[in-house]
Amino acid sequence: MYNKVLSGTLHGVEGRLITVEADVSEGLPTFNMVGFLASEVREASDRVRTALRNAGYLVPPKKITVNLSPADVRKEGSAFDLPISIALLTAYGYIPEEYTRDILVIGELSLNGDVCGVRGILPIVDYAKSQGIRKIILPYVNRKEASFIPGVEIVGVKSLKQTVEYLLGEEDIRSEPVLQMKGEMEAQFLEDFADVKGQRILKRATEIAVAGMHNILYLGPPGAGKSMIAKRIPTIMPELSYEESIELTKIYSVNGMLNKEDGLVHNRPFRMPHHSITANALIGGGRNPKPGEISLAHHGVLFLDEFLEFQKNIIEMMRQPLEDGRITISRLQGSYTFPCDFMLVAAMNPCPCGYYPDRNHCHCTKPQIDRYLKKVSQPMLDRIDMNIAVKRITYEELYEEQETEGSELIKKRVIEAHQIQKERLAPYHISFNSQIPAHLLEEVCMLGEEECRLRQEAFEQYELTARGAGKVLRVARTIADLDHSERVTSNHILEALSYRMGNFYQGGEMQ
Amino acid sequence: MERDVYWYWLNNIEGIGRVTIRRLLEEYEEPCYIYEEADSREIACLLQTLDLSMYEASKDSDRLQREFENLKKKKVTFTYPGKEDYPERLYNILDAPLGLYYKGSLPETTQKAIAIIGARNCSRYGREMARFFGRELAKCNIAVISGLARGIDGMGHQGALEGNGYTLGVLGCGVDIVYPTENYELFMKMERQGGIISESNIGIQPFPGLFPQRNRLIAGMADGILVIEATEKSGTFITVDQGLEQGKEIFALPGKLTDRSSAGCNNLIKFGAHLVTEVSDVLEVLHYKDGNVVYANTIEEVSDAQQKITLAPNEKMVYSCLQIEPKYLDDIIMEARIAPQDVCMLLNQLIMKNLIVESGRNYYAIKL
Repeated sequence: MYNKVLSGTLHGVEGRLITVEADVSEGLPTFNMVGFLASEVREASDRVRTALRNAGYLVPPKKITVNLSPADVRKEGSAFDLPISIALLTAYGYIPEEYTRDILVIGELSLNGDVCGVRGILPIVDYAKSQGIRKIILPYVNRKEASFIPGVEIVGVKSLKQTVEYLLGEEDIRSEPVLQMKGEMEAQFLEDFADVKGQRILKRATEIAVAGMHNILYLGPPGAGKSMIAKRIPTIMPELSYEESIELTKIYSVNGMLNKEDGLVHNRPFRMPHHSITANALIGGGRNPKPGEISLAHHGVLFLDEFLEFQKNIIEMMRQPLEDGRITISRLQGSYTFPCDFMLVAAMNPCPCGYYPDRNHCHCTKPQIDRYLKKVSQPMLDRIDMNIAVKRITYEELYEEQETEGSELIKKRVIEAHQIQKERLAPYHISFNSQIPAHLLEEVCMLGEEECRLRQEAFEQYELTARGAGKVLRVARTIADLDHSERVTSNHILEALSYRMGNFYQGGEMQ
Repeated sequence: MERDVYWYWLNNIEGIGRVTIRRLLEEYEEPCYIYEEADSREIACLLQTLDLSMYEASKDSDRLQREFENLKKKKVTFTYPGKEDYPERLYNILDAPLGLYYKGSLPETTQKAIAIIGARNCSRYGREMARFFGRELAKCNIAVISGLARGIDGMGHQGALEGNGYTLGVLGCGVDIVYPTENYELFMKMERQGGIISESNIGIQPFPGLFPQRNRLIAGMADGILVIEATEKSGTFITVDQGLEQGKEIFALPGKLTDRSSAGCNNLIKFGAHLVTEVSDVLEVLHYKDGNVVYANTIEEVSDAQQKITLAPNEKMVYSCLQIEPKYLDDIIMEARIAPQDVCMLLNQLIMKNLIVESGRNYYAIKL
């Protein structure tokens, strides 16, 4: 007596179909499981047997063989408990074989027969649909995240018994209504730019950074509001599109980080890993690779506070993903590609104590500061376009009556700037000013004679490098876009010079 | 051997310092007599046993010749009391150096000299003032002497170089060692446009015990000492004390009472130092005896001259928000009450016109 049931597993953030075959034959009573299994899958035999008994199904001792195919894909996770049980019950004759055909089954079992939630549902469902599967039985708690894929009937089950009764047609489970989503997600943020008092220049620089998707570095003492403003960056980014949201939800689903009630990621992510983070946690990895922080920040913001405290080699691993917008991790079982198109926001103190140049607080000597700043990773600085100093605000600023601009207004300007950039840069297959390659800068910025002269003067006066000059132009281009100006004018370049990435203190001059 | 080499030898016996050398010179008058003629039993009476062995070991004429040639090769000049280039001012100080190594040139005896000294960790106000006084005094043909250290010292030299004047750096290590290394450029310029002098032989690394002697030299080479910025317990006061012992004029720049980095200066003024608010305050005292009247720019005149460069009204407005002490960009925006982008634009325009500097990331200050 042989039967098979379809199930699925994960490969990176993509789904794969797995066939669960069960055979029950005469012989010494054993329970054998084969098919390149991880230990948690192997443990399923005990769970399944106990759950079957506790759910009230008598399983006579026979020689049971379960195979998960294809045999060359390593199976991990606990999502095979339910499909194995169903395959067994079919093999034992509890369920007629044709009732389980073309249904994909996923779920973990507890010993009493309840079905528990698993991670990575969305990518599997998405893949299953593309493979022509029209009905999926999955844990009740995961039903929401699966219901965003139209064209598949989603059945959320709470227990093994309920599943069997549903298959037998004894119990009718209302399939989940498909939540059709199109266009943009509605973001729900608790934070708002209006919460940030004072800090005009910081806000302005942040707006420019977001408008051109420039990576930005904040330099300032503890408690100046670096993290506060960084946390609010997602609130001025355009709403996630439906496609972006699905992409993100897949990543979060794989990591088991979805909000169970909601199912879909609504807000642009803001990730703030601690500086003790390991390479695998940041980039993604593990034996069976999972997305890291850079992928969790996909379409959003990765904020590295205390930038200098991160291990240099770990920080430098982000170089390639920062440029490509995705990361490929190769392991024994294959290579996995995770998307990681994020905006990098870094913050650091200007000196070991953090208060330089406030000489009432800071007594760091120049060699101390030099030694401290030397820890910064130069290759990473090369990939950050903007730099702005932050200072603690005064009591008066904190409690000033003046209305500050809210996120809504800023977001409107940012969206407009994004639109302009997308239209202009479409022929070059890029979407943001921060991605303009050096050889296209001239063409895109449309500098006049006066601007060229200014650029030369600035190059000398500020001792810019070729790369530094390029960054100034890119930022100037974004400022011009915020200004709805077709050409980059002198004023735009002059303003961009204030945000240039340069020496942290000018020409070695100390105060 | 030449007389120079004998002097060089006497100054470079390990374990024998100025006090012993003086005792020996009293007895024998010239180093060559000590080297060639001194009876070992007589010498033994003047030296301790340990020093005696050093004394004997150091008498290696080949090595001495070689070392002396090496000095010349490195363009280091050696001088000693009695030699024509030995600075005349130093004859007047107690415990005058018996050997000096220098690069570049030494100041003219007729030229008035002022030491500009102060803290290494100083404010931008201090730095700018040191530079301003260095420059303006140099323009009035005053030699600027200092210790080529971080902070005030270096800026004093810097100013003097900008004013195209003579400046002398007195080191606490060998004159071939650039300490601190960040002064490398300044060091190289001073070799050409001034001088660098030390009591230590080349190759001797900076060592805390050497600095008080250096400070005595700074005081000795100058006619007056101008203290720009110093805390109450600053090492600057070693120089000032030495200067007072040597009878030099002491000048000090007043500072805010709440400013710890000026507390030492304010104390000096309280105890009778000349209070300096203008360059001419220094000049008047220095030229008191010879009656020379030299005109010097005041700080207002210098900054007014800056203002006179044609500025657009809004540039002028932003410029007026700035001071010598650096100000953070956001504070300037608050004060100017115009949009942040305009302030950034105007500030960078002013930087391009060389009127202001960005002294730290997004901190701006006017240039004097």
